[in-house]
Amino acid sequence: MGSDDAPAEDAEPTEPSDLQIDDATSDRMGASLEVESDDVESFAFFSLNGDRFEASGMPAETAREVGNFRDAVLQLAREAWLEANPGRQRVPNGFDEGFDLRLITVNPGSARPQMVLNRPASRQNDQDWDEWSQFYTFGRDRLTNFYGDRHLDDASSGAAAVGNRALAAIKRIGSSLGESESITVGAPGRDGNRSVVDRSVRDLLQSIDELLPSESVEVELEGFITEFDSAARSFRLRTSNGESLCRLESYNPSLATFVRSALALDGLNAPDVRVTGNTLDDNGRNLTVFNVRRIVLVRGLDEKLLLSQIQRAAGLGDGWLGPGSRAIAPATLVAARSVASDLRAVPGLSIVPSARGAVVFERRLGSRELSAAIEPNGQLFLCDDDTDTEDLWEDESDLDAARLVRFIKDGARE
Amino acid sequence: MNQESTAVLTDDSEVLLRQVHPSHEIQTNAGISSEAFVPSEDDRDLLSTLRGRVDPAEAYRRWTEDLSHESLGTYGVAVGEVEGAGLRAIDDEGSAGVADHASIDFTALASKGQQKKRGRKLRDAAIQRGCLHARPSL
Repeated sequence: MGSDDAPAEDAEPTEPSDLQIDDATSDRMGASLEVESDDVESFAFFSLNGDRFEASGMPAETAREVGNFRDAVLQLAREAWLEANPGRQRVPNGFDEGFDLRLITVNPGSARPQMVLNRPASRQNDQDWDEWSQFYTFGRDRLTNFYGDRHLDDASSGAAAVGNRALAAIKRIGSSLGESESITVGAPGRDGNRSVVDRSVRDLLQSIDELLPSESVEVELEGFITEFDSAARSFRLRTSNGESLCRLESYNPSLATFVRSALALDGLNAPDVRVTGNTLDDNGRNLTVFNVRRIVLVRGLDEKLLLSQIQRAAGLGDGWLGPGSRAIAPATLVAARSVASDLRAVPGLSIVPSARGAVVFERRLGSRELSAAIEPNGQLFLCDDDTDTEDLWEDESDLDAARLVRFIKDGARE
Repeated sequence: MNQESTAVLTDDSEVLLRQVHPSHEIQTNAGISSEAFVPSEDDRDLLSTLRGRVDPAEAYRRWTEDLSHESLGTYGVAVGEVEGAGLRAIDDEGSAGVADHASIDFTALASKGQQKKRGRKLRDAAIQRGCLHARPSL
């Protein structure tokens, strides 16, 4: 979850006058939060429902649901504060830390962890605390309302109801639950507004990312796939700038199939692909990309291996093979790269540098050793050396890429 | 080239030592391109080697440590094999200014194709003999 540690631009307390808080919420925010157990002011109603929650206590593996709930409420509280303070880019210092939600016990029946809002010993004055407490409570209620029918009639309204960070946090709630299990969240007390997060709700939320979000931007990334998680429908794409996490759009099994086929089993050697999706933070490196809807093959593994040989030659400087050897000129490298894709399927093809600064395509065809050199002066030099008959044929002409390709592919001398 | 400081090598059994650059490692032709045995015009068509009296490991060390070049390892071509390829081997330590230096002389060849063919023959002989000192594993 994001957290702003940077200093806020201004620090004066802000009344949430522009914020629409319903009467019920306002009442609950009044003198105290309702008491859910003896001597404790509970912050929220939270119940895990299902057979495995009938025993006393709470299964350890579901404890993170409390953290998921806390994250979602805090994100919604942050959004609410920013809505109430137009022109502010960040919440005040200490706002995140002030939401110190404490788990104090688990009531029997369904697992019902009791949570209280602890006021940290420092960081904020009474005025801040009073203000922030209201926003935390509002975050809880907005979360409860989010699960209501109004927002979940369809995915697009759900996506529009909250911001992206909050939506991401909300989607994590219930992620540890089984098929028939659910969570009930809401305000404390018998009359508190509540909503149930069951499997159908969770499924609907998972579909929302297809419609996300007005703040996102479309990105195209090029790289190769190093990992694929079929359960999470996500993969990692290694690019020239780093590694990005990409999540496929829902209901598109052909994309998952393609990703699996293009995966680098050794983590290194795989075709290059171009991925189209959305991101919230287009900083150019290590992106998180969602709603990936298009993946196209840019270059196959064969072509990549050829290009890597050219790239190896490109790294050589003058004198690389002794005093009289020359680096490969940029124009020669460009010409060599331009024909590599046409030669990608030629078996046994190698690309090597020559001491005179040429890039040489070499291949054995039967008893013939074929070599086609792109010379530093822009000429094309062809050599056909028959190792059985000792017949030698050679020719030098202006560079003709098509001729080079025909010669290497078929041994054509014309 | 200072002709006065060179001498044609005549001991057919002497194995001249040649360093092979990693960029000349290929998938076919037993793993080495013939370009590893073709000189450049700027080298006056002389392919640089060291005399057979030098230990192959020492030849590798001089090339990689003293001269800071890269090498897959030290390969060898006998003077007799040089002659068999239609070339000659010369001791040019004096004119090259490098201890134990010898060159395989391509200057008499009329074309790049001829040089390529002779380079291929030297490559085949070197591969037949095998690597005399390989680069240490990384």
